[in-house]
Amino acid sequence: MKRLLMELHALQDKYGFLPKKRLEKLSKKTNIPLAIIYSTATFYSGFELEKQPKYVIGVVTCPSCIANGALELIEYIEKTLNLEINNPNKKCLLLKLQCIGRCYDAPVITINKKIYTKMNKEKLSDLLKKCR
Amino acid sequence: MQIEKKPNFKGIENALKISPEAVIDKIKLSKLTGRGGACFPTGKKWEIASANQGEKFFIINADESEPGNFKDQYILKNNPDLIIEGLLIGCHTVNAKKGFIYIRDEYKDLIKNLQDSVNKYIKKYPQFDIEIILGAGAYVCGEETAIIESIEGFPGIPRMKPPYPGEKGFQGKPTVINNAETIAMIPLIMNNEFNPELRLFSLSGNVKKPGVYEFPLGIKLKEIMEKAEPEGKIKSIFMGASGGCLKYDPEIKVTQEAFREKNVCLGSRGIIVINENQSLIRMLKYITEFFIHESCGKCTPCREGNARILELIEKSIEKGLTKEEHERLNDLANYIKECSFCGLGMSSTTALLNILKEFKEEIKCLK
Repeated sequence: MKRLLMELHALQDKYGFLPKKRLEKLSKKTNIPLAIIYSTATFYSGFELEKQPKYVIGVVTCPSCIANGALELIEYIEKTLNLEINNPNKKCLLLKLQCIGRCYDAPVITINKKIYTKMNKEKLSDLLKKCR
Repeated sequence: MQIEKKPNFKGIENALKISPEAVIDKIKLSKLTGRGGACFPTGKKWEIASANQGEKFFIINADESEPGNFKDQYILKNNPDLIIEGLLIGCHTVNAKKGFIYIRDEYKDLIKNLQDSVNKYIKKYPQFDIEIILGAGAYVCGEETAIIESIEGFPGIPRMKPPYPGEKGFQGKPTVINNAETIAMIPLIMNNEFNPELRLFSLSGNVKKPGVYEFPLGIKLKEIMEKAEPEGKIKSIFMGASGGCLKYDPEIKVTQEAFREKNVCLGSRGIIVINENQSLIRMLKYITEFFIHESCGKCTPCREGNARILELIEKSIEKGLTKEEHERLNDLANYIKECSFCGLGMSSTTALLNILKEFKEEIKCLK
């Protein structure tokens, strides 16, 4: 049997989030009480319990990224997509992210978990076209 | 760099030729200490677990989540064999049949390489079993008992210590937990290729040449900065988010002791260089947000205290603090440091306390 974290990763990779029915099935399959599965699934920020908008954009706001212009990138994304942090529209969600260990290529953003490094407004402008 | 030496099974073969006690003696003699920041003597840690009987486990902590740290990532990417060979030597020495490597989710792209290395070693040494576990975005899982909870499938909430993992760890059995860089040193020790003075440093921030470097402890900070090539005049360095904020002193020697005198922790040696164009209070705001996000919520000082600190920092940025609010900020930072349950909370206000002392002008006050 796989460890619970790995089971949850497999579900999230398949569905993009953790659907309730799948968690119920997992509980039956593994004999792990559903309450325990939920307490684990909700503790880790890497797991989502709701279907996510088509584009989830994350901007890393740890010191190396801020020193290299992350806050200016947030402003630019908000303005370009007419979007506020943590306040999704039908298509996009913009989030602040904690360090993902690419500080040597700061500033860093992610779109649907894909990592984009050494970001600037020019590169962002191209990336954001599909999100408009 | 010594970390780039390929072990080629030599380290484990040397370990298998001698008794577990002799391996522990060799590690003790090497003066290897934990590279995750706590600096506990590795030989001693192995000895404690070794003295216990019954089923045992070994865990490698590659959940490197401290902002500004990416040295473990460098080893995982460039020389995973060193980690696997070290883990097998560890399993052999403490008599553990099973080893785990807990790696952060954001290093997913390194897993194939790591699994290939695991397969290569297990083919040759089938008496051991190694399982890779992917974390899911919880900084607190760097704490040794939280990582155990996480592998067991629970939220990564630290346990009360004692008992320490060497007595009761994974599934209540004796467990050794070593940082990825620490375990990578083991084959080098077995091959007599280990230099105990050298440490890996992650350099980032306002520098032209960020990356992983190897320097001896005791080097002057300015010599490190020369390699990294700062952009602009350096104001301070952050030692990750938890190690604190050091007012730039080119002559300071980079040692635990010298940094401790300045109330800064060398930790896992992630140096984030900050130049004079940056606002430290703005950095603090995001560092505090980091700790609010990463607090497991178990203890009140860390969970509630950092939320109150954020309110005060935001007020300082927007309007300025009254004298009472400034005092409260200072008091809260000290309470959280003194009263938190685990290292995460205890270190969450280190940078704030440094800035309150060394950069008074950064915190705006009302007249």
